[in-house]
Amino acid sequence: MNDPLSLLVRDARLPHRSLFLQAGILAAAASIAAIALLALSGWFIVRAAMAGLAGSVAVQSFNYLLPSAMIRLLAIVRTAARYGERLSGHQAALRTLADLRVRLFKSLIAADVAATGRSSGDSSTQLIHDVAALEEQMVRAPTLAGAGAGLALVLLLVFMAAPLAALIAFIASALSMLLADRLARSAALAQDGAERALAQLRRELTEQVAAAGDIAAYGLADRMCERTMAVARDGDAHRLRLVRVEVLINGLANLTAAAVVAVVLLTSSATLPTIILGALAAAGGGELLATVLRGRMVPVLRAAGTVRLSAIAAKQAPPDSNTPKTSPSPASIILPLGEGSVTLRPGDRIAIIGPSGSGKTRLLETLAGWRDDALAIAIDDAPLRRPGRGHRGGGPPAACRTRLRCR
Amino acid sequence: MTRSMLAWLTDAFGAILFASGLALFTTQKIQGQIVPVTAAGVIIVSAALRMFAQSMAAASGESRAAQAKAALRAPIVAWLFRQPPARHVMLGEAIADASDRVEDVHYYHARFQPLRRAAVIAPLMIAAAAAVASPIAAGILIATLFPFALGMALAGMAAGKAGREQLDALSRLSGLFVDRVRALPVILGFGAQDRIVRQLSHSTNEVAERTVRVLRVAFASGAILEFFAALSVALVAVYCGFNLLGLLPFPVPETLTLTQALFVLALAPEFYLPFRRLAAAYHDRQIGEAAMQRLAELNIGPQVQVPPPDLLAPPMLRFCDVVIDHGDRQIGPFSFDVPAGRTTALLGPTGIGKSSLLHALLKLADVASGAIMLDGQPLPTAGLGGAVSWAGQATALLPGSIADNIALGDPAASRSDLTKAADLAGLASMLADRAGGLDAHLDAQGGGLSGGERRRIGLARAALRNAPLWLLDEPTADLDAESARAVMDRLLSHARGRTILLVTHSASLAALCDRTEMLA
Repeated sequence: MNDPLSLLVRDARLPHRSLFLQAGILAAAASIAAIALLALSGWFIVRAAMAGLAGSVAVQSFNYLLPSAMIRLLAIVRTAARYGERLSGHQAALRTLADLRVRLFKSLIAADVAATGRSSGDSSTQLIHDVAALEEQMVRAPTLAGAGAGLALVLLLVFMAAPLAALIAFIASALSMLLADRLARSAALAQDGAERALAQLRRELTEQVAAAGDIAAYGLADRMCERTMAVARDGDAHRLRLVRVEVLINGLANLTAAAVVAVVLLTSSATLPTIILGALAAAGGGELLATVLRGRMVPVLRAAGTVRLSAIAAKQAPPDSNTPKTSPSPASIILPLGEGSVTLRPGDRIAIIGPSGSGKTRLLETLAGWRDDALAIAIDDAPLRRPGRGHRGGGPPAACRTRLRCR
Repeated sequence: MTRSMLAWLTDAFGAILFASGLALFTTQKIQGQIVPVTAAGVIIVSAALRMFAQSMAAASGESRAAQAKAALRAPIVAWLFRQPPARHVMLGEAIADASDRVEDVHYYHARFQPLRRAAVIAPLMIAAAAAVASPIAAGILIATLFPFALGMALAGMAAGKAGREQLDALSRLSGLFVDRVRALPVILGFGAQDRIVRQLSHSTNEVAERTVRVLRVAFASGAILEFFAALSVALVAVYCGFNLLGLLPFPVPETLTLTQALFVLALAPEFYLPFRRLAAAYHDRQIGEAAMQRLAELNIGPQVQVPPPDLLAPPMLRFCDVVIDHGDRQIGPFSFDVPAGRTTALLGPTGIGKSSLLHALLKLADVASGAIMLDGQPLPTAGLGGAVSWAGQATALLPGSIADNIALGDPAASRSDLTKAADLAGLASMLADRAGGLDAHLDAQGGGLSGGERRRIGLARAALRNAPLWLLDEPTADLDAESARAVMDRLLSHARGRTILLVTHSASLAALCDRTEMLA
């Protein structure tokens, strides 16, 4: 994991390590308490029933106060730990993200100025989406770790009841993770398809709206509308596939848990309280396994965004400041105006007038260094040219040559 | 009962089946059965049933969402097609509404709504099943609902507000970042990057801290839910244990068996499960409701279907002091005549409103004042849509062959009519090089078509319909001078005797027309 984004994330996480650790520990406590609550309750009930059947002496010898107090304590621990986990997990993620945004912003500054300077709202919106998705992954990370700890307890309790079932549980969980990873790829494809359909919907609507004259003149509204709805239906079909994968992954976890419960019941040679302890732990493990499987899916679904962010993170700040080095007050600036050019001397004031679209803003932005159009600007007789970049246009447009006048 | 409701109730039934399997096991074990196959089988079946139920719930939720989105989207799209194409900014937002905002309601319908309904009935179903084994344990489950509801109502008020603030705070955090990214050129122009980085660092940290304070309250309702979910399990376990021990400090009318107690215990976590699922969908609700409110504000009235007006003979048009309203500015007034059966060219500098005058005839531009007369009568309120030959600056295309797209001008046209129209627009030579010719397939964006080809498809459509009134908006803009002249020569002689109003910048095209009107 040495890609630029991971390094950036690692650096941003470093100051908040203890908070992430705290969230992870609380998440583990919450998962463990949830499993232990149900399993211990089952054990307690079976022990109580056996003592009750054996008569009053057995009842007296059964220390019922300790487990019943434990049960109440676990209920409180589960609640408090879950609340604490959510809070410290969000706290850690938000603080890290605040750092990370600043670091990404620095990378953006270091990046190709002309390219980012003109980046439309679209690409910055994309950037925000990608960072938000990263935030979601970061918030989930402690929960995932906690679920792992809970699953370890499940394995232990199942092992106490039936060692064979624990082995099967371990293998089945590993297999379900492999299967979930495969399913995640098809989920990513479905999600990609849904996003593509939405983008196409937007593009087609933009074109159709521009051709509203055609639509009105030839009465095409119904057919065009039907076309739009067909694209939307295509997107919905992809979403359905995505949701089916999610349900399948959930079901996989629950089915694994049920299978382990069944094996515990069939193969255990332990006492009844221990069997119930193991069986109820395994039943509760289904939810934890589902959390882990879904958590493994998220990075695959967000892979495209991670790649985009990584590309930004890769941009290093140059050793010195990246503002163009020019003398503080140039002795002359030559601007291409009309058919010829005009030379500005210190103290000159010039108004540039022309119809819209003739290139006034373009001239100013090129002079400011925000874009690199090949305009024949010269500062102190040296042509203004950003090094290492090709020309996009082939010189100023005709309109610029003919219609920009200097008065 | 909807399908998704049925699915969630089936899921609850699966939970009951699991509890039954566990209870059956203890009975079999107590009876001395060594290998309790039936119990294990019931547990596997219960998991399979729940998987099936959840898959059914998801599928029906998705189809509900697809239907709801279609019902929401169709009128917006139809409305979009009736909007003046000149209003780019407003249309950009409306297109985002029709695409992205409508998608935002997806999970509101797919997840939140079905879960909300399931959260009313599924817990009662679980409690009823528990009551069969132990009415008192079922009573305990239901009794926890009252403090739970009270706590949620109290926390809900605080948390609802905090939740909204949370969304605001998060959007402020990213909003700040977006704003600075967009302003990057200005920041660099003033060499202010260091200062802005310091400021951004300070502000994002501050917003993060504020957000954390808000979250303390926002997570309260989640904690209450978690607490009662855990408490209900603990209370049922302790009650059942003490009942089995015979040590309850108060008399109860029931004596439980182990089978009954385990059955009830296995059901206890399922009682709060529907609420926990609903809480997980809370975000879907917030996003969905915000989007629905925004879409309702579009205030799209019902569409009135008007049959296209009949134009039996080439009409005469008269523009009297027409002022076009572009929303942010007005253009005009314009007064001129378009005589019947003649070709009139409309000239004038870019942006003066020539295209808008053509669009006004289709009601795709708002006439603020003045009037357009058609043969001395006011223009029909629905405009002349459906009754004219039109070729605009953009050509609407549908997926299908080039011939299909030309045939949009007249669905009843024969193949030879289509070929003739294509020839008139000069498509024949272009299509000769293209595999499939007229039958070449186009996608909805006309992928692979040049600007000139698109324009010619639009012109062929106008020629195919050959209505008594032709409206052409810069018909030769994408064509080179030579082919422009050839195409317009052919089209104008094909349409001889029709009323033609065309907008152009080309002096040579204007020279082909009977008369010219200069707008200034």
